[in-house]
Amino acid sequence: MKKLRVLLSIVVLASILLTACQPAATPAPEKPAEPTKAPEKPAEPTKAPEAPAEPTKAPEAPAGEKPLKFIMVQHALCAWDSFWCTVEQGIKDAAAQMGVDVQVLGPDKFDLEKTASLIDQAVAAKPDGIALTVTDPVLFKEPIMKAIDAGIPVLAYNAGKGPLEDGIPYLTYLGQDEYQGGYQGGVRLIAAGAKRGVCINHQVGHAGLDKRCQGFVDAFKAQNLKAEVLGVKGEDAAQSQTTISDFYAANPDVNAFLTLGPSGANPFYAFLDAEGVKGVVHGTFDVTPEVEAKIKDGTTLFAVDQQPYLQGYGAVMYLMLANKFGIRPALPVTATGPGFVDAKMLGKQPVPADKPLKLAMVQHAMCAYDPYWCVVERGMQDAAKHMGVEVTIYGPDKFDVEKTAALIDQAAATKPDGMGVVITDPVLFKEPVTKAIESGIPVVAYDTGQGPEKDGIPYLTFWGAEDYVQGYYGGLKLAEAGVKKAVCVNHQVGHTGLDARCRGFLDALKEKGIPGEVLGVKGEDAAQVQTTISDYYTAHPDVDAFMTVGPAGSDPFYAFVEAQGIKAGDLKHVTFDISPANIKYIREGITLFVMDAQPYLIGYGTVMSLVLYLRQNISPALGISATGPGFIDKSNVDIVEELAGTYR
Amino acid sequence: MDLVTKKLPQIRHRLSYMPEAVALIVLLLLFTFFSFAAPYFLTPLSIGNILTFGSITGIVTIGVAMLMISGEFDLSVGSNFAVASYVLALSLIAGWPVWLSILLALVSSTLLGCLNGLIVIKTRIPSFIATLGTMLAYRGIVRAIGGGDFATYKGEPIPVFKIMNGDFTLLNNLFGVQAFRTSMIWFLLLAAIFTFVLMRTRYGNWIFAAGGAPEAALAQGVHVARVKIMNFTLTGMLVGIASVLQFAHRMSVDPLRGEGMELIVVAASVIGGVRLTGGYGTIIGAVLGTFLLQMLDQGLVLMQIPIQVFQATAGLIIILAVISNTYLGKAD
Repeated sequence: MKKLRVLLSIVVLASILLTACQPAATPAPEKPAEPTKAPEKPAEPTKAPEAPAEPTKAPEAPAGEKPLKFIMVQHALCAWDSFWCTVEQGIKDAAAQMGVDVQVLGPDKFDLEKTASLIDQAVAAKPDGIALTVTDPVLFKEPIMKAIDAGIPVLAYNAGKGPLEDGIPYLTYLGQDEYQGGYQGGVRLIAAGAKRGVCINHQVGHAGLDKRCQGFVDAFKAQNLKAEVLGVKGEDAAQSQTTISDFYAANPDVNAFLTLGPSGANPFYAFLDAEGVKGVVHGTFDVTPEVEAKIKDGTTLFAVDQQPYLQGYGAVMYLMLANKFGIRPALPVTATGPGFVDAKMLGKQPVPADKPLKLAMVQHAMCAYDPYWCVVERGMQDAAKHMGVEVTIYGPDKFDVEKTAALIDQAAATKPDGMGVVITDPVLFKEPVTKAIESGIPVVAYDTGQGPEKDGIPYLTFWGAEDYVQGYYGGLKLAEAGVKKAVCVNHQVGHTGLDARCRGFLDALKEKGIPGEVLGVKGEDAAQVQTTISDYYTAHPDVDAFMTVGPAGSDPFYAFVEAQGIKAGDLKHVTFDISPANIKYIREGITLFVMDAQPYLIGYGTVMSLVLYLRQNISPALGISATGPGFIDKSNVDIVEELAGTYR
Repeated sequence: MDLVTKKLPQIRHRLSYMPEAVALIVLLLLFTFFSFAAPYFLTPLSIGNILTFGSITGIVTIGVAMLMISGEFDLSVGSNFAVASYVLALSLIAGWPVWLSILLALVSSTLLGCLNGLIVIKTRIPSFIATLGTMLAYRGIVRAIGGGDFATYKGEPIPVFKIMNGDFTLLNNLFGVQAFRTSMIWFLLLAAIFTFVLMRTRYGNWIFAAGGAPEAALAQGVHVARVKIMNFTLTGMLVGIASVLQFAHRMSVDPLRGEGMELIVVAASVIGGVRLTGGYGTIIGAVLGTFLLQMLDQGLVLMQIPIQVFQATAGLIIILAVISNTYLGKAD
């Protein structure tokens, strides 16, 4: 009896102790007790995103209480061109979800001169950001430059070619990647049995259409299959039909057709009907009611869509991220298309915006013990809050790849609406991730991965940064600054990622006619690294640009700078990964910029892609949704320093 | 009062002869709890996950439980597990025949298990300390032969792996999921074999004797040292089997593979009623303990509770189990 009472009290005591100690069991440096829940998460996570959320408070805005104000300038409006209603819906939804004020400006009929003057008016309103269509880069350059010179973040959507091709240094262009549209279309047709392909171009000479055909032909070439371009007169449907018909009569072994829009698709359908051709596969661009019907009856495999909703939504999102966190879109062109509308997509019922969504994330490390992941997790939770969904983040209690793979299976058993996973080991993760996809769960990879093609796992997209791409765009940006001869200091030669950074860097410089080479140093010995750099500089005094690929290279480089008394202007230096040291040297003008993978964007983008896929039937355009290089330079170093460790 | 004064001691007395009673009761309680509290717990997918993932650690637990009954510990199982996977992976990558690669993996883990036994018996160092040492040493072997990198088999699919740890098509088709794997057959088979060995053979008696009262056993003519070395060796072999089965599924191994496994399997054994001091316990109890922990793992995920809570909850269950088992053990 007595023993029983003692036992009972021990049990009770143990439970009380456990309850009391629970928070200690999940230590979270710099974070509230529960690391996987948004601190300010509203009680009701299912808030309809379209409900006009009070735009007066951007909840976590460190900038201040006033909501951000963005102005969008576009060459057409929903009021008189229904295409733009989808774009504007994306803008409106994003603004409501993210708690920003957005004003859409446009002419009341197609009028580029008027549009250009609207840009001027927008600049005069001193907004926190401007997004616009770069319909005519020559005409628009002057007003856009005014905005950029005034320090207003500017990006382009729907119309444009990207800052490099347009020759205007705006942040990025959100629109269709035409080459990828043709390429991926080709890949899909080949998968459906294409042996020989033809790209029917209804306007040869049009840069965008030519790129589509180029991508298509390249996709066939990559599989050692034949493909060619057939030019037709788009304005004359009857003649186009005859041209296609004649071509087919001469080349009856062609069994795959790509048309680039209704002007090609309609004559193609007429040709099919007239000749009674069977056993060919067809893909096209742009969704029309007629194309939809043909997809449903199996004539057409897919229609490529530039996904205008994402153009509007993404423009607001990137302006918000640039303002609040100094986050920059990684690439000159941020692809919103190709989005493939096929029979599966047409049959897919979008989830209504007011229905709660449950997302599960599986990663190999957690904020609870690795601060890097706090930034990723914050991005996820912020996106979840903005979009009104619920995100649960799973990870092992220490780095354990096998356990992470098991967690993918375990998380899939919670029947989430969508999943995010890191692909730490493509071989090990292939089985559980593929199983989840086959069971109907859309999956997006993040942070660690190489894209669905290289990983061999058919997930939607990978949100993260590629080392080569980061090095490459770093090289282009450095070339713009004007250098004569460059060196990439690699502190761990043989490391795949670091080697790729140097390779990308030197490739970009070579394209611009700037010579460069790799200098291998011993990263574990800072003093020796400094000596090696110093000796190299003595032997090559004509080198005026240094890239280091991480702190193990940049810290000794700074010691070398101090020892040699090098001043801003003598040398240009660029590097990877933010640290207190390189923030100091950015300010001093020695370091031109630092690149990072923008972990907040990794988390935010992963959630955004899944939710837009579920609610809007929007598929990520590319296998890799690049988050890096995110450039940190004089223009955003203050905000980055302030947010380091939380959002950066 | 009658119930408390008369019936309870009776029940307690009866339960004291069933080491796995506590594990079974907790398992049923937890199962009932998750059935109500965790969405999708009672689905083939979740049950399949529990059985599949529990099978690998379960095979290791069989060995460790037997070893504990004979009065010894093995903390090196996790490191040994990784060694076997690396030996298998690197042999396959080198293009050696599949049967030879598997044999090499099993032989190396069995030898390392035997080495543990020899060290413990010949030097008379407590096994807790000795295998703590080999845990670190074997992990060093992993890093040395693996070069600190993942070892991944990317070649043609290996047919025998489908039998060892492939899709359990029968159950998967029956329930319309992709969760059951054949490893669970091997686990249950091994559990049955070693239950028989432990309960029905002379060797089984020696194991209990060696752990419960080594001096008396010695006096009765039981070769305590030989029994213990044999048990270390068997544990090594079972670790090898588990490791090979897991690799047949995953095709990839990393330098940290198996870290922390030593504690999970001891926990499963203790929850299952195996006494830390030796001489008492069953394989069935250890099996129940394994599934209990695996169920906790899956159940908490289904309840969307961060994984860190698993450690806290598992710890509480271990303490409760030991308290209950001690309480029952004092009945006689």
